[in-house]
Amino acid sequence: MNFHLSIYIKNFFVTLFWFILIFSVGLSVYAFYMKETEIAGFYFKNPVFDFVYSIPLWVYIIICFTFSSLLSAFIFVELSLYNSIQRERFNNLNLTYNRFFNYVLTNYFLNDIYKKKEFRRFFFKRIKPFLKNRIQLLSFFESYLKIQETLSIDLSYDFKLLVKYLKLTHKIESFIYNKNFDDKILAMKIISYLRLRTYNKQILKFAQSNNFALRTEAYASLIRLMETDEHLLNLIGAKYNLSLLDVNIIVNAILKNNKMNINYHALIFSENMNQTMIGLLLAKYRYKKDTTNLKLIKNYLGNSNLILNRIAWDTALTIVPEDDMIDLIIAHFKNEIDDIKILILQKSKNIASKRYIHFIQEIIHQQPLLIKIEALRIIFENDFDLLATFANSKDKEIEKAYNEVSSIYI
Amino acid sequence: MEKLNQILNSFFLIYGSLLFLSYVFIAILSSIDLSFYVKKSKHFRFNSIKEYKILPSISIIAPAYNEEASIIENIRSLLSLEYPKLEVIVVNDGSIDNSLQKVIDYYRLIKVDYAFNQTIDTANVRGIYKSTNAAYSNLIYVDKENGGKADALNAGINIARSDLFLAIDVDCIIENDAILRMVKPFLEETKIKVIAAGGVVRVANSCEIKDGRIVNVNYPKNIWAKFQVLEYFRAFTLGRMAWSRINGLLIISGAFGLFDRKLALAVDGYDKSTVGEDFELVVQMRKHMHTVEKQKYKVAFIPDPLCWTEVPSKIRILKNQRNRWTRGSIDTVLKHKDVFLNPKYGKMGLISFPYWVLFEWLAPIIETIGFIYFSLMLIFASINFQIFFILLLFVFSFSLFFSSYAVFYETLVFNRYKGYKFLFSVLFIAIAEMIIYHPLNVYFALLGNYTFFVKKNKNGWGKMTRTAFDDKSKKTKNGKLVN
Repeated sequence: MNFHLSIYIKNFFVTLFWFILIFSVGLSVYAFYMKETEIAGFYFKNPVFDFVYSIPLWVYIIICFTFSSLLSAFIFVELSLYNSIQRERFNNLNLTYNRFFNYVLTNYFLNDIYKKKEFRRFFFKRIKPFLKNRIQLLSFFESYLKIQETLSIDLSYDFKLLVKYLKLTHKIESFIYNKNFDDKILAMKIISYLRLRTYNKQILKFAQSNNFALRTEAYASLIRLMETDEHLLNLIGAKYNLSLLDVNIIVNAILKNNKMNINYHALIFSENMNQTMIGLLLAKYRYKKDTTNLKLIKNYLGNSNLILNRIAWDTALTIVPEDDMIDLIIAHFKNEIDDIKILILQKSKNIASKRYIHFIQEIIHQQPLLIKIEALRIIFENDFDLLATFANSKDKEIEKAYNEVSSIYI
Repeated sequence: MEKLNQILNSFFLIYGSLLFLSYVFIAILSSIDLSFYVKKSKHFRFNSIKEYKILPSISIIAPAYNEEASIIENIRSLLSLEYPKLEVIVVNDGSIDNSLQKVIDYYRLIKVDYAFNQTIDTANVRGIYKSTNAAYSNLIYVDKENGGKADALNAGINIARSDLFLAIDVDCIIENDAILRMVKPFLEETKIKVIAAGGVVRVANSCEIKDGRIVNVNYPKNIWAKFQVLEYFRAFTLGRMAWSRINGLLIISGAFGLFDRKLALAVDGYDKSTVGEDFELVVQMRKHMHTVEKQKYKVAFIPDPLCWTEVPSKIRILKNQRNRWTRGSIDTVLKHKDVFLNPKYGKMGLISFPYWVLFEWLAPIIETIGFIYFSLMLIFASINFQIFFILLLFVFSFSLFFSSYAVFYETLVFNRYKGYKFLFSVLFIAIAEMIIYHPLNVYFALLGNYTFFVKKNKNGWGKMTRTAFDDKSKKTKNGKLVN
């Protein structure tokens, strides 16, 4: 409550300052234009009225702007000085507290001694005096996040005990309801790593926000909070299109959340392309042994969405057995764009089948330079004698590609 | 005569009012964008980008001319930049010093038949080198005949095989996580294609540098560099940020910019016939998006100080640089005059390009005419002295306000220059700028116009001397490849 109150009081004074400043400037502009003014019993006789009276109104406005500019310049210089000192102080304190909390929290999480109740209580008591102001709290939470994101083990149980004992839950709450979205992002991260499910509704609200930074973190937080799919991913990307950043963050959050069981079949099947992308990436990175969805994945080969097409190929070539891979490539290769052809060749460079090499030999002449290079690399890897037959090719590009392959890869 | 006076007075009043109004808008827009950027990045770990599953590949293209003194360090610094899919292409633009041999020896390079298409016409590439040391496998060293910076960059674009390319000056100091920050806008957009991204360039003069990294940021000792620090604050922190907010950014610094490679190839890369090749490329790419691809696009800007460069510390060098910038600007404006107030080109045609013409190119000319006009009026006593001085005072006070606002944001958001000494010094510089640096800049811009229109010298680079960052050696750059 005190934390809330201090934020409100601070905001009130900041708003009051700006209000008084703007009001004073407005009042001055008015007062200096009049011969005399009486406001709330205060009588003001304009000493420069004769001058103001003698100049046109537009010149008076320019004079007011001049004074405002000078006043603003003065305020900004003062604020710069204040910022500079404050930031220096903040940075130094932040650095000190970060080091301190990194050290003590790492120790607390990893040292077996703190599994014992009495040592734990002792630790809690020792750390409590260092969690009084905002800088300390931010450093404390940031340190926890840093440690949690670095280590693959789940530290939520230990940190929850700490938060409970130190009565910090309401502080996390104050972050999530704060008007600043950077605080909301921090709160979502902490809440999701601590698996505190009481704030799901608020985070779901953020997931529908038009602020993409807030939205992206809300997606990742929701994923960390879920243990089962619960069709969560059908919600993600339903209202707003997902960016590549969203897709990456979501996929990484799922991959790190080992508990979460994803209905990735539904994702691949989704009409929403972004959800399909997530499904395909999960198929590649998490469910690579599961070939039941291969038929579905193949449907996306040659898709007009270039990124989706690329991911589909990448996934398909990761999970498909080698024999099927050759059939797949032979069937689609000619219709694909150059970038995809390069990807296909790079992903299939270990195929030693004669049938595949024969196919490569067939298509090589019609392809642009970069594809020729990749094709010759495959031949180089598998059939050195065959590569030598390209040495005297009259095709300039094949000559170039041959020279590169023989020059670099040998 | 009186009628003419009235017309001229009204013209200068309207022009001045529009100019000041535009500055107010710039201040407001940049504040909004900066505030959003800071908040969204505060708890974002840029390092996590390295773990992403879908990332564009990036080629750094660094043209180098006679960089013998620092080339080894510069390449090492580029190779240490953090990004998972990165290749570094250093283009030796026909250096006449021993830099080629030095790089070959140090990085154990051998000449290879690296295949590439000459999609953009460039000077002859004499050889491409790769390292036999696996640790430098992503380094490609290109040796070509001298053709200028634009030509070297074009050679790099031809050779690059990545989705994006980062054009940089080889002697710039790049922050370690610069690429991770620069690539983020390319990942963030949902419906809009990001075609390029620029970053803030800061002044490295007097900064402490160790192993190719800035370890201590110092305010320059040299007065001309001091002026430029303030100028860069206003231009990057406020100006470019504001233009980026409304997607009207027309220029990305040649020292540091990330571009879509295929798009750059589609517009034939950098224009070798101009000295403002960075400005020209962005305009070309934007035009291409409007006329050929007809797709929504964005030129993004990152307010983080990611690149540090040495600025001219001698007035002669500064004169050459500003002269060249002016000529480059005029050349591009005239080449693309069809964009001016053309709704076909969206915001570029209706807002940013006309702004550039009126308030970047023509401003020094109009200012000079105004100065002469009002001076004559003063001499002939045809002007109200009181009003004249009130207006002059307003111009000075507004200028002071704008500079202090830029400094305020710098300290609020980045605070790279620290302490009250810096603030008092920069305040003094902001005042001195109005009477020393600004008139000089106007004069240099006029010289640029004169060189372009009267001397017909459109693409001469002049001479530029740079002091090596560590002050251990001095190097001279002649001819085409500078800054």
